[in-house]
Amino acid sequence: MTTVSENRAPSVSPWREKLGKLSVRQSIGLMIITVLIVLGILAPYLGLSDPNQSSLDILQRASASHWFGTDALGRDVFSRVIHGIRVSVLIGFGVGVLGTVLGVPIGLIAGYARGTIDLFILQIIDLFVALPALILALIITAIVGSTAINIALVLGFVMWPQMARLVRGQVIFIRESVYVEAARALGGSPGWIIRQHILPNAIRLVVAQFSITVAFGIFSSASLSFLGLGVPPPTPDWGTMVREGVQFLAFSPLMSIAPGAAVTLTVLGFYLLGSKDD
Amino acid sequence: MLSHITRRILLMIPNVIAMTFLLFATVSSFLGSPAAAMLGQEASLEEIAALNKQYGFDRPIIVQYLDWIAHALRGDFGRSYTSQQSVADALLPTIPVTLELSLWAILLAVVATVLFNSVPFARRVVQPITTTLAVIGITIPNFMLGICLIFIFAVKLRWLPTTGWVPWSAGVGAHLSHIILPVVTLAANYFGSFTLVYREEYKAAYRRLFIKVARAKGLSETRVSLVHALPNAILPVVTYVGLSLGPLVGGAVVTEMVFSMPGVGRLFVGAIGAHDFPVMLAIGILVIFGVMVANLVSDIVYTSINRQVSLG
Amino acid sequence: MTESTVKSYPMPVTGGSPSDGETLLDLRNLSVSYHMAGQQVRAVRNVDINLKSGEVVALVGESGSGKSTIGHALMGLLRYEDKVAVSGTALLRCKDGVTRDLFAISDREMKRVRGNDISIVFQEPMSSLNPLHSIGHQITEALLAHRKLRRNEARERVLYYLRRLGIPNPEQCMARYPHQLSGGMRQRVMIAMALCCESKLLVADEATTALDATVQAQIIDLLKSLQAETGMAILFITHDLGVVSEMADRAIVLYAGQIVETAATRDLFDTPHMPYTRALLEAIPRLGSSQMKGYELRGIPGRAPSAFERVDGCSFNPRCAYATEACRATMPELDMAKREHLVRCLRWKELQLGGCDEFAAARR
Repeated sequence: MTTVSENRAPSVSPWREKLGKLSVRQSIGLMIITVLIVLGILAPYLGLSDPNQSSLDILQRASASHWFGTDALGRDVFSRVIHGIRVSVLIGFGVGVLGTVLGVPIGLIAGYARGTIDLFILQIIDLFVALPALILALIITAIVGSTAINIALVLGFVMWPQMARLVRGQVIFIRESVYVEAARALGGSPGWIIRQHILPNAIRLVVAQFSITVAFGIFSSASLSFLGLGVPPPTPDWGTMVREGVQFLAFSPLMSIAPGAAVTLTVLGFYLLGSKDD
Repeated sequence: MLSHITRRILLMIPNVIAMTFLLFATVSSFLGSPAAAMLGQEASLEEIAALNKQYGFDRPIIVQYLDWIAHALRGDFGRSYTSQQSVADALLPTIPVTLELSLWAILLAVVATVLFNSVPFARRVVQPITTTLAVIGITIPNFMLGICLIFIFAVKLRWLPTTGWVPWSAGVGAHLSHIILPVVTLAANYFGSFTLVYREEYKAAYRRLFIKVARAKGLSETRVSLVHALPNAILPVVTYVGLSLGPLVGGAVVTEMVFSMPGVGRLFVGAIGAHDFPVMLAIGILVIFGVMVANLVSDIVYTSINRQVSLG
Repeated sequence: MTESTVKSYPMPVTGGSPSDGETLLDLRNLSVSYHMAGQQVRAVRNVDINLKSGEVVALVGESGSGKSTIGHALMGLLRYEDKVAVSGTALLRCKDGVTRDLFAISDREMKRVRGNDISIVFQEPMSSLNPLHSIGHQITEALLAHRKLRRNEARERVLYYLRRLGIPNPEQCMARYPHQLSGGMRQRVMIAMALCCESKLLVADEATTALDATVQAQIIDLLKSLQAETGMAILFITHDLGVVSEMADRAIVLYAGQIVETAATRDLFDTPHMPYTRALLEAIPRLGSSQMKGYELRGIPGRAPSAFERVDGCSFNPRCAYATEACRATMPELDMAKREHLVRCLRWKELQLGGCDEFAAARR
C-alpha cells in the first residue's frame, strides 16, 4: 500500500508498453478477422465445391447441397463467398500498406519540419480529404483497368491523407512533450529522437489507423466492384457477386445478401480492431 | 473576417484549377485517343488522325484544357460519344435527383444524430443501441444496406416500391415512397460518423461552465441539454457536414445504382462503363468544383459564427 | 405562495441587519470524495458551516482547498459529476417555509431549490454565459424556471434587475450577446441572474477574482448594497482576505479540505490562532502605508498538498514554521479559543501570532 502515488517516469523501453492491451471492442474485431483470415487461407482445403465451376444447376435456392444456392452460371454461392475472402482481404491489406507507406513518412515530415513544408502538406491533405474519393477511384480505375493490384494502388493513393494527418498531429503533440525537449538538450540528433521517442508513441495509433484503412479499403473496393469495376471474372469478388445477384433478390436473396453480409462483417472486424472505445 | 474569406477563396482557386487539370490530363492521356474509341477498332490511322484534327485532340493538353474550360463556362461540355447528345442536356435533368437525395440524407442524418445523442433519457438508455447503430452505419456498404431495405420493405412487406424514381409531379406520396429507402440508405453512413463527431462535441460542451450555470438556474436536465449544450455541440458538425460532402457523393453514386435512380451517379457509372470521355470529365470536374465550393461555404459559415461566439 | 412572491415585486425590503439570527443553512459533516486514478480522494473533510439569514460568511482558502467544491455541493452540481461521493447533511430553510436536506432530496426537488432558494455566481464571467443566447434570454430563462410570468412581466422584472445592477441601457443589454459585453458587465449580468428569483442564499464562488481591481471594487460595493437591501445571506468563497475584510461578518479558513479556523472577521484579523491564517494575512498585498514601512509581501512557503497526498498529523505541518514532532504525529481537532472562534492547531495557546493591525486600513 502506497499512500502517495506519482506518475511513473517514462519507461526506458517503451515499445511493448505503448502497444497496450486490447479493449473489448478490439477483441471482437480481432476475433472476426482471425476467423475470416483462417477461412480464407483454408478455403481450398475445406472440401467446398470449386467456386469457379459452372454447372447446369443454375439459380438454385439455398439447400443442403448449396447452402446459399447457386448463381446464374450454376456456381455454388457459399463456396464463392468463402473464397471471396481472399481477394477482399488482400486488396484491403494492399490499401492499408500503401496508405501507411505514403501517409506515415509524409505525416512525419509535416509534423517534424513544420513551417512552410507543413503548411504545404496540410494543404494537400485537406484537399484530398475533401475530394470525392470514390469518384476519383472510379475514374482512375476505369482508366488503368480493374485488376486487384490496380484497385489497391488507386484506393491506397486516395486514402493516405488520413494516416498522414494522424501521424502529423501525433508528432506535433509528442514533440511538445517534455522528454523530447530533454532528449534534445542531451544532444540527440533529430533522427535519434524520432526513433527513440516519437515513433513508439505514434505506432499504436498508426496500427489502429492501418486497421481502419484496411476496413475502408475493403469497403471501397467492394463499392467499386458493385459498380462494375471489380477484379476480372471469374475470381470470386463480393461486390461483383452482389451486383449480379441483386436482380434475383426476390427469388434467391442469399445470392446477393450473403456476399454483402461478408463485406459488412469484414469491414466491421477491421473497423472494430482500429477504433477506440467510447 | 473578410480577409479570411478572401484568403480561402484565393486558396481554393489554384486547388480547383490544379485538380481539374490533373483530372483532365489523366483522363485524356490514359484513355488514349478518344477518336480511336469513337471510331472503333476497325479505324485506320488516317481516319483517327483526321478525327483528332477535327476535334482538336492533337493540340497540347493545356490548350485542350483551357479550351474545355472556356466552353464549359458557356455551358458547353461537349457531346457524349455514345449518345451524341450534348453533355449538358444529358446532365441537367439528373442534377435535381442527386441533390434531392443528398439533401434529404444529410438532413435525416443530422436530425437523427442530434435526437439520439442529446435527449438525456436517450443518452442514458439508448446510448448502447445508438453506438451499435453508429458502428453498423459506418461499416455497412450502401449497396448492402440498400438491398437489405429493398428485401425487407419492398419484397417481403410490400410496403414500398423496389426501385425507380417518380418526380414530384406524379404525386407527393408516390415521390416520397420512392425516395425514402434511398435516403435512409445514404444517411446511414452519415448518421454513424456524425454521431462520433457530435458525441465528442457534446461532451466538450457539457464540460463548459455555462452548463453548470444553466443547472444552477434550476433548469431541467432536458432543457440544459437541448437549449444549452446542443446548439454549442452542433456547430462543429456543420464543418464536418461540409467536409463529408466528398464521400457523400460516392455514397450517392452507389445508392443511385442500387435503386436505379436517374441521377448524376448513374449517368456517371454508365459513362465509365462506355468510356464516354466528355461525360466522365464533365461530371468529375463539376463534382470536384461543387464539393470544394460547398466546403468553402461551410468553412465560412462556421468561422463567422465561431468568431462571433468565441472572440468577438 | 408563488403568487404572493410575484406581487412583492419590485423587491422585498427586509432591512439589512443580520436580522433575526435564525438559521438559514445548517451544513453538517460535509465530506466530498472523488474517485481518481483508482483511488478515493477526499476533497472536503467533515466540514460544518452554519449560516444565519442575512449573514455574510467568507470561505477562505488557497486553490485546491476544497472551498469551491463546498459551493458546488450546496448547489447540487456534484450530482452530475461521475465518481463523486457527497456525504453529510445540508439543511436549508426554503422560502416556502420547509426545511430541506439538499443532499437527500430528489433531483426533481433540487431543481426547484436551485436558483430559487439558493443561487450561485461563478468565478469566470467570461465563460459563465452561453455564447449562443442573448443576455435577455439567459436571465429570463432563470426567472421563468421558477415563476409563472407573462412575457412582458418577466421582461420588466429582468430590466429592473439589470438597472439595479447598474447596467447602462438595460433594454439594449438584453438583446446583446455575451461576447459583446466586458467582464465586469457579464459579472453584473450573472449577479442579476442569481438574484432575480430572490434567493435567500447566494454562493459567490470567487465572484470577483477574475475581474480587474476597479471593477472588483465596484462589484463588491454592489454586492454589499444588494445584501443590505434584500437581506440575503452570502457565502463568499474567496482566497483574498482583503475582500473578506470588506464583505464578511464571519470567516471560515479552509486548508486541505478541512476547516482550520473560524471566527468573526474582526476577531480573525486581530487574533489569528492558526499559523496558516496568520500566513494568509501576511500575504495580503497592501498599498501605501505598508510600502513605507518597508513591508514585504510574503507568500507562504511550500505548496498545499494535492488531494492525492496524505499528510500525517496536521495537514499544514510541512509548511508550518512552528511545527513540532507532535504536529507531525497527531491531527488536531477543532478547539474553541473563545466563543465563535474555533481553531485547529495543537499549539494555538502557546503561540502569540499577532494580528493584522491593518484590518481597519484594509477595510477602506
